[in-house]
Amino acid sequence: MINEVLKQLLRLVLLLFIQVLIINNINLSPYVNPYIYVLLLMMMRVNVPKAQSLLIGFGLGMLMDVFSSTVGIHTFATTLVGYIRPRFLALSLNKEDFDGNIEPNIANKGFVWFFTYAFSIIFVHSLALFFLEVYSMKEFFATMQRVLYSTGVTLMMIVLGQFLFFTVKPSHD
Amino acid sequence: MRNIIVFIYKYYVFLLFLLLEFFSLYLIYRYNTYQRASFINFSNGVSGNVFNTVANFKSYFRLRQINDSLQLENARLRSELFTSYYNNEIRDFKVNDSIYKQQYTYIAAKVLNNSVNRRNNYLTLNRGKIHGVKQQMGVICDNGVVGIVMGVSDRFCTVLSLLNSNAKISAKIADNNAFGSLVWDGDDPTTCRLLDVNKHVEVENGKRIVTSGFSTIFPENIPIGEVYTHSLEAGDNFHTIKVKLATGFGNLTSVYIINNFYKEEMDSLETEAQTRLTDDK
Repeated sequence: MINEVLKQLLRLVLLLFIQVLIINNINLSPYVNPYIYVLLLMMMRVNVPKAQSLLIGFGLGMLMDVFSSTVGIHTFATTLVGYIRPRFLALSLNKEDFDGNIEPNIANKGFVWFFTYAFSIIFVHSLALFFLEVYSMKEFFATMQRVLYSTGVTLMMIVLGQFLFFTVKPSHD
Repeated sequence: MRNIIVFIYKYYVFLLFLLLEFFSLYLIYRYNTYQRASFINFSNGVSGNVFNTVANFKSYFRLRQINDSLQLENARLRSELFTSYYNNEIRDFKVNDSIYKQQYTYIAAKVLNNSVNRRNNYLTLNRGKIHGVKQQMGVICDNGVVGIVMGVSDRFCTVLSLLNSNAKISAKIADNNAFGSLVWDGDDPTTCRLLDVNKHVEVENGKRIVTSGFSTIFPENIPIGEVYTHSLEAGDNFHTIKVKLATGFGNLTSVYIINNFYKEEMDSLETEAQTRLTDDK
């Protein structure tokens, strides 16, 4: 248990470091802003209680808001992710996975499942984030482009990261 | 009563979710308005120190570039000294300080954090309350306008970048004094749009755009950029003007915060006039 908490804290520091000090400084285009820090929420073990998942999302968003001089937008998006994550897992995982309390990564669940999982989470996160940042519907299509491109790049980074850290078994379904 | 408790127990996750989301929406709503300083002031103190450390590293790698720009600026300033003018009449010197009363002073600051690729961009600078920075002060760099100070903590301040949907700066075409307001579209960090320039005004590509000096934030004639493209739609009363910005927002390192000594006097006069108008109605 202590081990698990330490691991998550380490991950938090590392992800924030990469996000705030490296990725936020890469100005690819106004349409591409990858936010890989949601990985922390995605990689929590599957049996984390729903309320805890919400609160972790809330805290993570607050922290991110502080570091990007914004107010509330990251908090809203990550809390939303914290809410839908357990529901997505309940729909798409079987009993074994919950009994084993696995970590939902690419090694445990295979490429296809992880890709869908990551896409859903990142898309919801980006959708909430970018629309709240613009704070109006006036530039709907520009904002939508922003959402799609950023989702794509974030997804790519996260999936490639998975290949970097885990050995992938051939998909078992 | 018991039913309520059962209800809360049953749906407590959902209720917690709603509570947290409403709280963040409240924050967004509350601080998305122009005056969102108090929260920023707090978060500045926390993140400012982190950004400060990183900026120290980064500025080391840019020393050559910074030296070059400083040298250029020194040369420019030197050419503006009293001694570099040929003095034939004393009246030539009254720029903004008619009877040699200083109106503007400049506080040099270093950029700690900056972004250009979001819809709403902000900068963090390493100057704050103890250096005399206040809200609503203008920020410029040696090439042109950068933004407006929004939140101030003891040692840091956040600046609303020109590249922000909330930024609107009063600008004019340098040659003919036709004025309009400058806003950012959100797609290209090197261009802005100049709105509200009347159609009878002549516009040409390459004409210089400068600050109008109508607000109390920027002095007159600070460069902003030059006309990049312009067009006049049939039936439209205003020009559509794209302005190529003089400030390179991508690699800002040193900026100046403008302190206007007469700001309060001018502002209070204007609000007084405004309230008198509404009272009359």
